Amino acid sequence: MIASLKDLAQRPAPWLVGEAPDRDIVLSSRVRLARNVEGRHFAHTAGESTLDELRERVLAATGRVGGLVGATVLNMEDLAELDRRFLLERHLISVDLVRNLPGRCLVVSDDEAEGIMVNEEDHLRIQTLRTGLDPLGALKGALRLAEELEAEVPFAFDERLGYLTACPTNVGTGLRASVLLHLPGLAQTGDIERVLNSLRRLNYTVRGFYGEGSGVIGSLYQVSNSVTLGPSEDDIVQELLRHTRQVIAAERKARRYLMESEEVGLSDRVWRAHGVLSHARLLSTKEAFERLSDVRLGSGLGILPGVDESMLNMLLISVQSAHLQIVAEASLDAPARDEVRARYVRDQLAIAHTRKDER
Amino acid sequence: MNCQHCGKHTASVQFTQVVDSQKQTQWLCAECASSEGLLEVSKPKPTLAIQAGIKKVTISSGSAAEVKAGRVRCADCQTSLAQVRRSGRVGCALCYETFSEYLEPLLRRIHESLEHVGSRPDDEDERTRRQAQLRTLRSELVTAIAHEDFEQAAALRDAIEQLGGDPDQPGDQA
Repeated sequence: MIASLKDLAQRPAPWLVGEAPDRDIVLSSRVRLARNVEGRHFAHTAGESTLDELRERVLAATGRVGGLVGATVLNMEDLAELDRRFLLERHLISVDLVRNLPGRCLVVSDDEAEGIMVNEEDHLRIQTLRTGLDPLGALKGALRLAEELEAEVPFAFDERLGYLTACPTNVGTGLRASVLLHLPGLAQTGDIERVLNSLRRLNYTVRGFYGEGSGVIGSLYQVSNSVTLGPSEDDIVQELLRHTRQVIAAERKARRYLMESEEVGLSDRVWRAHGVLSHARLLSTKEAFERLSDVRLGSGLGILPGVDESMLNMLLISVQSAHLQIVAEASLDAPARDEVRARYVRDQLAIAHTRKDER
Repeated sequence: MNCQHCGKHTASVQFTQVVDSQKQTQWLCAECASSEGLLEVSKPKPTLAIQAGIKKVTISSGSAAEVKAGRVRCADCQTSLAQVRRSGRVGCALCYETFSEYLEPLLRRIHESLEHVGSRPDDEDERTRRQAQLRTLRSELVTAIAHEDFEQAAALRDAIEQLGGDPDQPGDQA
């Protein structure tokens, strides 16, 4: 069980820490499977009593599912708006669950790697997160959860169309697999649009990391499949893996080029960013993300040796507004948040340096 | 399915009435529906208030033109095509059948094919059997209610519930 949201806010999201191949470019991999309970209207047409009944059934089932024994259950109705926005910032729930409450809940494992959103657009959104480039591991985890749940609760399934979902864009496998990429090299060389457009032509959706409508900040991109009907789950994920490897190669090439052609300029940018994060007294979210992106690039290129990448990844999540307010246990206005954010980032960098000196 | 009134002709109209906030559904042929004065078959409309105690008549399995005209509502969740278009979402599993003429071209545009490849329920055959059983029980329930055989209706409701169905959701066979 997760003791409190404050505890959660003060620790790094486990799927953003730990060693993994290519983790300087691929932060994490994610899979979600959409499923609906057989014989019930989908969530947006179901009445509140049906939503409650569905929640009870899903929760009873999760109690018997291996991966979710001892998981934490958070009912959206019981949470304040700030708490819900915190879970959104942590990528555990969607905007839908911030806005719609009755019958909605989140089931999440202690390590935040496995979970279910109940009564989101679909009755179940089974989700798994893994560190680095590991969409196959995430898929395996999600399919295992789905299979175990299906033994308890039959899902709406059509022999031709496969798993039936509220939105026809998800029908079939109900699978959305995504990777979170940090591509500052391609952004700097100006090749990013070309790479993203070729991904879009291959039917991938590209979005920023920080939610719908926020655009891309800090060169973080989420790439996910949009075709769910036709190819198998394994094919979808293998293709994503193959194309992600091509993007990684392009990013590595861009970084090499930058190191060869403008090393001093690049190094200056990285150190300036480090200076801002280490000394600023006011830090907006946007500035924090952008400077963290620069420092992360510097760390990946060895310009800034010994900066703890897990700490940087943690900051990408924990400098967000709801996180700061949950930790402060207070509602803060924008200027107060900028001040708290600056102090928090300074402290984290200082702690990281102390640790390094002790080693 | 044959008309649940005359038992002879193919049913083409799903007739839903709400009595004491209980939804009851019956499949009728066009002749019985019109001779009962339930609707004018030549001018089908999604909802018609007809007589005391009867709230609406729903036309399912409409022609392509009707679906296009947005007149058809899903017999289960009552979602209309206009709502599907507006929200980009269907209301229930049965909507995939009800609006198939609209959805198939859409699915073809979004996806690679219309055939699911990939994981399937372990007990797919058993589920298919169970769904067929549920359909039979439901139509028996409708007949029992029509004949005011409430003892039989109660037994059928129990049987439906035991198979995991909701007896108050008449169209949840998908």
